[in-house]
Amino acid sequence: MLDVKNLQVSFKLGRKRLDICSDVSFSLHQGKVLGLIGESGSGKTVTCKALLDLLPENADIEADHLRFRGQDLLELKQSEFDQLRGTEMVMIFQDPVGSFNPVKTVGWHFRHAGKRRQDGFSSKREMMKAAEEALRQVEIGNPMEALSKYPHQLSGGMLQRCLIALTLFCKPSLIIADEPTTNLDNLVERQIIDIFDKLRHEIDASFIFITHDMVIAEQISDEVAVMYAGQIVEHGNTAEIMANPRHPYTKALIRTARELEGDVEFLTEIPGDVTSGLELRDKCRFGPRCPLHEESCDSHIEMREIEDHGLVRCIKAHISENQA
Amino acid sequence: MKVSHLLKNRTALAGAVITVIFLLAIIIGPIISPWDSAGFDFASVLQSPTGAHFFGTDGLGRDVLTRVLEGARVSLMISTFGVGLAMLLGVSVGLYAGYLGGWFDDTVMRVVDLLFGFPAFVLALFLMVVLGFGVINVGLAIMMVYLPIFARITRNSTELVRNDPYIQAAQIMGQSTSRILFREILPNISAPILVQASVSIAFGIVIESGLSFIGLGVQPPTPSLGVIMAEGQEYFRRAPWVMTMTGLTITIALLALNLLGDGLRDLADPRLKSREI
Amino acid sequence: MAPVLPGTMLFSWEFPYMPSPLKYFFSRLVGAIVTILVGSLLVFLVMKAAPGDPALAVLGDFATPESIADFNRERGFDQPVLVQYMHWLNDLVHLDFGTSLSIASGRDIGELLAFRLPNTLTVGVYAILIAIVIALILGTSAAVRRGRPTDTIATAVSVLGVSMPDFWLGYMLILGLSIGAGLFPSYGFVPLSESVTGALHSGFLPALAIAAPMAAVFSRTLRAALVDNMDRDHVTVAKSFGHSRRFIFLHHVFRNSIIPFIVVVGLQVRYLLGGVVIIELIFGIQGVGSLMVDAAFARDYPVVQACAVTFLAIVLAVNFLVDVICAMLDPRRGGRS
Repeated sequence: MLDVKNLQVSFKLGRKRLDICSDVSFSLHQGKVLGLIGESGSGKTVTCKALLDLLPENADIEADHLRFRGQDLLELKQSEFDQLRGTEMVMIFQDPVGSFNPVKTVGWHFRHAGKRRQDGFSSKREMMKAAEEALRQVEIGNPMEALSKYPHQLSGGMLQRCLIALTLFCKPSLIIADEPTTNLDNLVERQIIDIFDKLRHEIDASFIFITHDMVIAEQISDEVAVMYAGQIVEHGNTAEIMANPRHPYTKALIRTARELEGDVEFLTEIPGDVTSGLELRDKCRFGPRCPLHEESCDSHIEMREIEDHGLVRCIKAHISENQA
Repeated sequence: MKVSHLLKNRTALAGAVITVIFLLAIIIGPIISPWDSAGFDFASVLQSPTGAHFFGTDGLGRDVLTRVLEGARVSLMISTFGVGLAMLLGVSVGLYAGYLGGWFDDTVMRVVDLLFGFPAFVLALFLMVVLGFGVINVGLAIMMVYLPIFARITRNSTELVRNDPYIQAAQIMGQSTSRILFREILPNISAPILVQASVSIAFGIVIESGLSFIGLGVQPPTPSLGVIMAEGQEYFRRAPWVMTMTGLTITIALLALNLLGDGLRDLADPRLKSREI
Repeated sequence: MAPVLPGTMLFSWEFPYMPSPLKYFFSRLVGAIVTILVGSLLVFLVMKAAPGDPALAVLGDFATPESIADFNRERGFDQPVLVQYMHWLNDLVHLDFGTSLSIASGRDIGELLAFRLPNTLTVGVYAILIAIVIALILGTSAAVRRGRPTDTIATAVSVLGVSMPDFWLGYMLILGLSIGAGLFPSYGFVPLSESVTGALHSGFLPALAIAAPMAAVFSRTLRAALVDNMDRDHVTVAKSFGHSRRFIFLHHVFRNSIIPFIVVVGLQVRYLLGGVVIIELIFGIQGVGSLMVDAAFARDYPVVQACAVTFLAIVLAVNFLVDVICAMLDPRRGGRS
């Protein structure tokens, strides 16, 4: 249902050209959840914004194809594309408070989203009933009251739920959630994740769930794709990747996540930072920080398929966990 | 804010350049001018601008350009005097008010608020009635108009930085209040004050011109831009260039100071400071 | 920091037993009234300190001591200052501003003001409307086409507009549009009560002269507010929900920019009223401003006082109005929880 092949995104800044994403490819099937994992600067948000054409004007998007439900998004006219947003594809952002217009009620947002619904409503009453229904799906006890409130009268957690309800209300086929719980505190975070978990089984939309938290990814997604410095470095079935990570970066991430869960005195650090990788156009971008890095790595930087596992962008992927 | 920053910002640069040119013109101009600004020359009365007289002549045959430059000098001095005083008093009051808070802050802000309720020119006009005419009084009137503004912006800025660590450090070290205010706080909040000063001087000139134009400000024969405009008004239909040129001069002066103020404001914007990183 | 309108800080009091929005307006209203009272006291006291004896001014330099004493006694000028203020205040509350000393001797000042105030207000409102229209056009185009030539030109025009003294602009307009093109009268104002078209026609040049610098400030503020709102998150979210650009601009960007715009309009009224004074003189408009100047020359202090307080009242009334409108438009103000 969503097939991305060889997506490249770069920004033009004056005379300079900044490569953000390159060689990003993945497929998403109906009803599945893809967890997009990576640290800040890994390009995960930009990838998704590129799909929805939400990038600023100086962004350059190139790809072999961006197929969504049979149509190549790159070939669509602006008006046709605009039609898809808010009806077939929606995105939930990190900050729920800023996502609502502060001078309008929550209900106002629903009303105008409702006007764009493909199947239409026969009356305003019917629309509001559907809105209430969506709000109930995210476990808001008193939907009518929520609709009449202004954003500043609701808490962050409530607003995020309303936002999720709003996306459900549009009945999309693809929902992209960009770190929807990062700004919320832990208790509320739990609740929101549980709601997502519930929803993915209830509705038949597909999800792309962006997060930097491995634990959440493990719970929520069917597949995971790990991104580093603008490229996908490992992609496969969630359970398999979590149990047997193959890419050195993924291994390090999971190790750190496990350590955070457990009771460890020192956390393992990955030395260096992402920026050193961004400039390495044709070499292994994780190289500078990788304990296994050798010269020969830099000539083999494509994704390889590993049997019963998935895709990995590392020539040393066959080395199992214990030998790293 | 360093000089290098000033040079990079086109607005501030333009403003600074024009201001400097303007200042040079009004300082040097009357000295090098072949005409005496008070010299009556009834032979060449009310001549439109020519090569000899760039701005033409007025009803008494005086060279308008020379007169305007002198008038600009006077207007600028009065405005700077008034704004300078306003800054001196207003900033001091604002510093104490913002730092000490409490009833002092309250009272000061209420007085400021009251003064703000009067339209600027009306306030100036009223003060001229009370004080009487003359150069110094115009300056004082301008001071009263801008005093509350400086007090308020200083007080607001002070309040924002009052609890910063370096202030607390100074307090712990036992520095006296006035030292803290003037040595520590003031340099850090000087940016908006300077921007305001630039803009205020500009409009101070307008207020002075307005008052003098009506006849309630600077009295002739002392030339000020307003006085010259008042004279120009008498024969406006026959010889509009006097008023036109004088007003144009005011406009240029204002333009320069406004651009400078704008540029300084851009430079002082904290968001821009992070660009360096 | 959000700009604070005059008259709101001088006095504020929490009224108990009242619903929040009502409490908000009521306390603002009371605050404005208190400000007027204190302001008038200030005006009165300062006026008393003015040099120059009104008796001499009216009666002439050769007045006898007896006639001066009579003069002062008749008007209560020989009583203690505070007592005089009490009388004045009492009269004020009954809307009796006293009688003019010299420029229209004997006439009730209230009458004078009643005649003059509408003219000032007409021109003032006219000017604000013109300024708002210009600002909407300039500010919006500058914001929508930001960074491009239109933006730079609009900004340049704005800076220029702010730099022109309004009375000079008035004369330039007369030169160009009145003497030159003969489109508008250069003197005399037809009051609104006499003829609407007459007022619109004769008031156009004076209103435009006042409006120009205000329009400059308004359009820059509007542009800044629009640009600021364009970068907000809820605009991106609205885009992701597929709303049309027109919808987003209208409901998410513009609608959210109105409030800072209106606040600036309120703040600018101070300067507007300042410009009105000279413009009234130039164009021969019989308004409060020209009255004040005439009275100033004639040392008719009661009239000067009354005018000053009237201006104060206008400013406060406008600010109260702006407060009310803002509270209605922004759900976060106005005391709604």
